[in-house]
Order: sequence, then C-alpha cells, then structure tokens
Amino acid sequence: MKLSRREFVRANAAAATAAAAGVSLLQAPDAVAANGDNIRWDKAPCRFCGTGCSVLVGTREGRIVATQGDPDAPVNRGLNCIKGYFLAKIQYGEDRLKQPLLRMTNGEYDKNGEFTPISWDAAFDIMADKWKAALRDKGPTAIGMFGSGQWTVWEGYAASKLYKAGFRSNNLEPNARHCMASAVAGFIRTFGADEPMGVYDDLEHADAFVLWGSNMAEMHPILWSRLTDRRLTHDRCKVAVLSTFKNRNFDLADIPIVFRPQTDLAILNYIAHHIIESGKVNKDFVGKHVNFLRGNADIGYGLRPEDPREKAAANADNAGGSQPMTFEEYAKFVADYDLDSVAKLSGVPKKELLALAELYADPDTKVVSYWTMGFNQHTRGTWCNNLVYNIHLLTGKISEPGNGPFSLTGQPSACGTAREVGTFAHRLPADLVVKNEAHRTFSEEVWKLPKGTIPGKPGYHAVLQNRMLKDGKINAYWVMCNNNMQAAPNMNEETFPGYRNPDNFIVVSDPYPTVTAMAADLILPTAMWAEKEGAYGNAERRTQFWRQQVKAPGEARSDLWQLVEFSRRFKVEEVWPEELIAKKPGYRGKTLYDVLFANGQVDKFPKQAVTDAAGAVYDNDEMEHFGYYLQKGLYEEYRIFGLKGPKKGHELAEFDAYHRTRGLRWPVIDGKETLWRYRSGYDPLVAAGKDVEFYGKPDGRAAIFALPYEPAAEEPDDEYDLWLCTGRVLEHWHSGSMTQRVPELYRAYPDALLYMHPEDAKKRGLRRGVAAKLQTRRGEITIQVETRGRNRPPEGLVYAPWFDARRLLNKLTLDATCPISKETDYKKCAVKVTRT
Amino acid sequence: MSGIHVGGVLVHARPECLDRVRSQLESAPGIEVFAETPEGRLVTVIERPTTGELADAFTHTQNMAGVLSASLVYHYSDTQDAGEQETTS
Repeated sequence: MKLSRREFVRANAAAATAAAAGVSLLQAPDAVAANGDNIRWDKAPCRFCGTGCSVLVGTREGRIVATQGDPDAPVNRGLNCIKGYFLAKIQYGEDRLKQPLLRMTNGEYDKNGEFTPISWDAAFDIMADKWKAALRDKGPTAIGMFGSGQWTVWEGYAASKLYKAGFRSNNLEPNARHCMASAVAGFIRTFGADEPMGVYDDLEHADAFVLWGSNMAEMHPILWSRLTDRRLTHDRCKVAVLSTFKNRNFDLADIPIVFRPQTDLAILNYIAHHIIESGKVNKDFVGKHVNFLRGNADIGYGLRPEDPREKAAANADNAGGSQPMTFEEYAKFVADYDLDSVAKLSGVPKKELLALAELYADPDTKVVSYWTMGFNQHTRGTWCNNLVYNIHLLTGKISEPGNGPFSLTGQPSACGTAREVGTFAHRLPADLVVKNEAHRTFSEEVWKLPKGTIPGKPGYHAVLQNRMLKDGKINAYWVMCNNNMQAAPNMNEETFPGYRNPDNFIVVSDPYPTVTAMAADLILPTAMWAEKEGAYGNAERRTQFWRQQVKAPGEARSDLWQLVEFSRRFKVEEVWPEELIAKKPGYRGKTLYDVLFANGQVDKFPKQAVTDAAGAVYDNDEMEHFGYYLQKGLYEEYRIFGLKGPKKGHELAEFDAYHRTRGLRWPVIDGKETLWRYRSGYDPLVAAGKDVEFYGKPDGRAAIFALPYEPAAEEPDDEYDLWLCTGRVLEHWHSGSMTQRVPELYRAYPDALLYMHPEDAKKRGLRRGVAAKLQTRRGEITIQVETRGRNRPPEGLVYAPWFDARRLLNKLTLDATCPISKETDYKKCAVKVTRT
Repeated sequence: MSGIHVGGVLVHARPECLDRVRSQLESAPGIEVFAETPEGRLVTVIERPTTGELADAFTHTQNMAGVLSASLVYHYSDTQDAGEQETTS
C-alpha cells in the first residue's frame, strides 16, 4: 500500500498517542523506526527537572537531530513535555562557548579587561596561581566552589573529593542549596536519612493528593499527567491544591486553597490538631515508631548577624535545637491551632480547611503529599518539611503504596549528585557529615588519605559564600554548571559586589555566556549533557546512566575533565601541611591528581569500547584523554560509601547494571531495587521481626516536632505593600540559559511577566500589557503586567518568573534563609508596583 | 523551514468539558482528534508547517480552558519534502 510520508507520520503519531491513552486505534508501527534511516537511537535521562524522564536521543552524523519520550521508561512511559520535545536543540545555541576566555588588557590578566581567548593550559596556569596564592595567604577557607544539581554523579563526586580531600576546604556547595536544602534538613531531622521513602508508583495507588506549594502542572508536567489520569479514572480520588495564588493545578482541584503567605505553618499544625481531636491518631504506629520533640522557636532568618532581625531572635545560634516532650504536651501545643484561629490567620474558609484535614485523618483514604519550592524556599522551610511528616506519622500513612510524603525535585540530579555524593558544605558521600569524626575517618580510609585530611568544620553555605566573596574572605572561586549570578538572592547587595570585588578571582565553567559567566574573570567552555557520559539520580531515588552521544564543540570540555585535569596543577606540598604529609610519606612529591584519581581505585578500569546492546560504539572523551574508564572508577569508588559505610540504606548496583536498565532505585540489595523504604515486605533493610523501622535513627523511631507559626522575614507594609513571589513557567527551565536558546521555547514565552490581580493593577493606574516598575528595598526592574492567564494571584500578591536574564528578579529578593537549612526564601518579600 | 512537523499529544480534559475541549481543539488549525475516552483522555495529532508553530499549538492546547494536562507522546520533524514512501501499515 502506498502511503505518503506525511500520512505515515500522522498515523504513527495517532497510534503512539492512542497506545499511551490505552485506546485501541490501529496497529501501531514502531514510532522510532519510522523516523527515518541512519539515526542511531539511545536512551538518556532528560537534562531538565528532577522527574527523571527517559528520552530516546536520535543522532545522525555526529549531531543530535531528535529526542522523544522513551516508551520503555517507567517514569514517563513515552510521554514528554514541551521542554523535553526540544532537548535536541539545547546543545546547539548559536553562542556556545568554544574556548577559554580571560579578562585581559595588553596581553595580561586584568579584572577590568576584555574577554580574550586563551589556551586551556594558560587558563589553568592563572587559575592555579590564584588558588595557590589564596591557599598560601589565608588557607583553605579562602577558596570555594559553587557546583550543581545538574552535575553528573561522578562530576559531583570528583568535585567533593578535590575540594574536601585535595584542597582540604569544605567551601563546596551546590545550587541545590537554593532548591532542596530544606527537604534535606527535614528528612535528616525527622528520619535521620535523606530522600523520600516512596516512589512515583504512589501516583497509581493513592486516593488523595495534596500539593503544598508545588505547581506540578507546569514544573513537573509528566508526573502531573499521571496524577491527572489517576484523578479522572479512580472514582473516589480527590486533589487538594495549596498555594499563595491560583495556578494551573487549581483546574483539577477538588479542594482549592489560596492561603496568606507563611500561614502554611499554621495550617499544618491545624491538621495535626484535627487528627488528634477527632481521635484519628494511629496509636499503635505512634507508640512503636515515633518520638516527640519540641523544636527551638524564634530562630531568626539567616540574615547577616548585624541585621536587627537576627539580633532580636532568641535562638538564632541554635536554630536546630530541640528537647524531648510527651504526646500529651504535643497535643496541647497544636491545640492552639484550632479551626477558627487558623481560618482567620490564613484567610482560608473553614470548610476547605476541614475537608483538607479530613483527607489526612480518614483512615480509609490513602494520601500522598507533594511539595516543591513553596515549602523548601521558605524561612521556615525545614519546619514545613517536619510538619508535613508529623501528619503522615500521626496517622501512620507512610512508607506504603499510595501513602506518604514526597518531596519533588527541581534539578535532574539534585538527589543523585548534589545530595548523595557530598557536595554540600557539611556533607560527605552517602549521608555522611564532616562534623562526625567517624564519618571523616571512614571517608579518609576509602580515599586512602592520611587521618585528619578532611576538615571537621562545615564550609560556607551558598548564601554565605556570596557574602564572604563580598567581604573578601573567599578570594578564589569556581562556579560550575549553574547560573548563580541570576539565581542567588539579593544580587545588587551581595552577589554582584562579591564577584567584582578586586581581591577575588572568579572562574565560571558554562556552555553559554550566562549572566554569571559575563561577571567572571575567566570563562571555561563546557561540554554539556549528551556530549559526555553521565549519570543522574531523580527524586524517587532512581539512578540513570547515559552514554556520550556526540562530541562537544571546539575546545569545550566536560566538568569532569576540568576538575580532574586541574588537580594535576597542585603538588601535595603546595596544599597540605608537613605534619599531614608525614603520615603518608609516599605521597611526598605527588600531585593531587596522583593522590585522588590515579590512586589504584579510580584508575583501575582499563580503556574499553563503550557499546549498546545493538553493538553501536560510543565515544568517551574522558576515557580517551586519561587512558582509563574514569567514570566507572569514580563511580565504583563512590559505591563503597553505600556498601561499607557507617550508614546503611544507600546501596547502589554495580556500574554496568545502569547502562543496561532504565535506572534502579536505591537501596539496591542483591541486584534488586527498593520501592518503599522502612517497611517490612518492601525494604529488605528493615530488621527481622519489625513491621516498620526508620533505621536512619539509632532507635529506629522518626521524630514528630512541635514547631510554631512565625511571621516571614519581610512582610508587606504601607510603602512596600505587596507580597512578591518568584518562580518558573512551563516553557523555561530555571534561569533559561538552555531553554531561552531554543527559538521555539523563547517564542512560546519570550519575556517574564508580572502576574497581578486586576484590582491591584487598577489601583495603581496599570492594566494588562503595560510596563510597570517593580521595586523592593534592594532594587528595581521594569516588567510587563499580566492580569489574566495561567497564574491568578489574589489581591495583595504578585508573581513573576525568574528565567529572564533581561529582567533579573533577584535584584529584588531578600537573602533571608531558613536558619536550619540555609535555603533562601524566594517566595516572600515586600514589593511596590508603580507606573514607569 | 518547511516539511513535516507532527506531534501526537495525549490530552487530559475534565470529563464534563470533553465536548467543549474537543470542539476547541478541532477548530484550532492543524489539530485533529483521533479518539477519546469517557474519563477525559483525547488522542490528538497536531501538524504545523514549522516546529515553532507546532510548539505554539501545543502550548495553546495546554492552556485551553478545560484541559488539565497535555503531553507529547510522539513527535516528528523533518524539513525535507513530504515525499511518498512504501510502507505496510
């Protein structure tokens, strides 16, 4: 039969879509095979959010020409969002950086000079000079690095090793501090172990979903389509959506709740109170598996210590402290959060609050709570996480199919890399921490280092790094795989002065000339995504690998290559004190490369051909350069932390297993992944004879915390009379450094808009489509007003996305953080909006 | 950039809005609804002359009143001419 190519493609499209919808339409031809000859297809996790969709990457003649949803992927089952659709184009922006660029005048480095092309050798020369000078003059605290939840697992691991072991500096942070730190702190505080107990499979088991500050419809669209499908096909399914403004999720909401910013704390305590008051506490579960603690209150806002708000806070210096309490005392504590007072405080009608509380209280309703930045980017972000766990623990609705709290992730490897390999200033791989001597000793043994190499004091966290740059305490600083000039809060007062401080040398590794790169002194061109072999870990503990599909342009090199190659520039004597070297005299005269990477472990897997099941052969440029399978060596060394370390629960499978599968969810025990942690029957690590064991805690019990409502760091007043909430839109990912370079995505949403209530606009003489001045105590920008569309704020609040490099929202935001997690609150500051 | 630019899109609509969503979809240029289920799933195919217009049509679908979610299941972009080819479907 003759079919025109066009008809054939349309038939394919209909058949594949029908299959995804569970509708039988016509026989589905193989969608991939239909895309033409000479295209090599291979799997890779998507480059964008933390969902971890798998895509099929089509390569022809050394160039990625197509991507599509991977039908064999358990996460996305062949589905793709608009950003994933254009993945093929993110590597091909016209302004890709292809050679190192140094600010120079008359052939010499000059902080105020023009960017001038130089060789990698010259770039590493000046970098090494600056690092050595900082180390010599002020010691390891004078250098720093800001990395990424978009780093591959081995890149983050190599950075962690280079900084914490090699340079002996804990000033290493990932941009995940801006997005996941409150979730981490909440998990560690309540359960003693990071990351969710549940998995995405909960989406097909739950009777109710509660979204707490998560615009899933736009930010996690594939998970949203699974949730939508459950809501439409499961009769008694209910969806509650909580936000400070109406967004796309409200279209599906059975219980829509717009609350006054910051009062989520009170709503969470009200739900706990309702569970107790209505006799719905799961007493057996609570009696066996839970401890009660009263957390310190009045903990400040993580601002500079001289800020009056910090001086006034009783527990600013012991924000994470707590004391044991009884269940009765806890019940009395939450009794203050009764329906009447919380309805008044939050502005939410009693009917909705009660309906929400009943979802949790009803023992016959299986409920999953999802949250993202609404909880995490919060000056009480750790508390929000703790408080939602309280509710699930009081009812025992946790660690089983369809029941559980689940923190969604914004970056593709915020979990797999940033959180798991020790890229935070206080952490080491696999949940170990620098403060714990036993953890340091174990790490030093794995890394074959003399005892005492790793410093025990946590380094500067993300926001503090920018303050320390401004104050001249950090002088040599490497920013890699992120756009922190655009992303960090209070750009005018902290970030920009820090980068341009004449005492500092700033290096930025990026594929594109971002706002951050343009503020640097040295720019290093970076290979991205499928231009290297990689591994990411998604929000459900799934580790996924990909092979290098194409070569990077020009002289661009992967972050991994940069980190490992840079280590060759340092002799042990230049970075370690004599008494440390004396403990391992064999290291005398060696380079950090010899000690950290050519250590008999990392370099133990010889060069080999990388092939797929069909026999296609792939490049591995790092293996070619260093002469051994670097990624495998780093990964297998890292795996020792999970297999033999002092904390169980982070066991990973062997390297090759991940190239064969669509990922595995850790802990992987005897080759089998774990879906629901902490419950017998699902988690093989639960001790025999126990039904539930929160084994991250020494006594196996999770913690319920009594924590109060406290106001935001900066609330609207007479002058700055509106709340400003910042965030994202569907079409763009984070700072837009990739998606803004895809013409189709740029065109779909070119400029950031200010969403505001029509009445608020009218009162200020504004209307839809006109430019307005948006001003806080820290800065101002001009932005176009939108009074309709996908986001509908209530009166008193405005919302704007931060992806737009021409409208830098973080000139406006305040660098207030959760004092426990050190994560910035990007959702609340006071702003005024006027005519331009 | 001409050629074939086709997307297979799984649309979830509120069941009570199905009729309205279907007629909105069908009145948009280049969108065809192949099937639907009573729960609110619509099997749609979008075809546009350029990838930019395909992206626009997709985001337009996603933002349509009554549409809860829209996901791409299949997409094909080819700037070559839409010539004939032998197949056995």
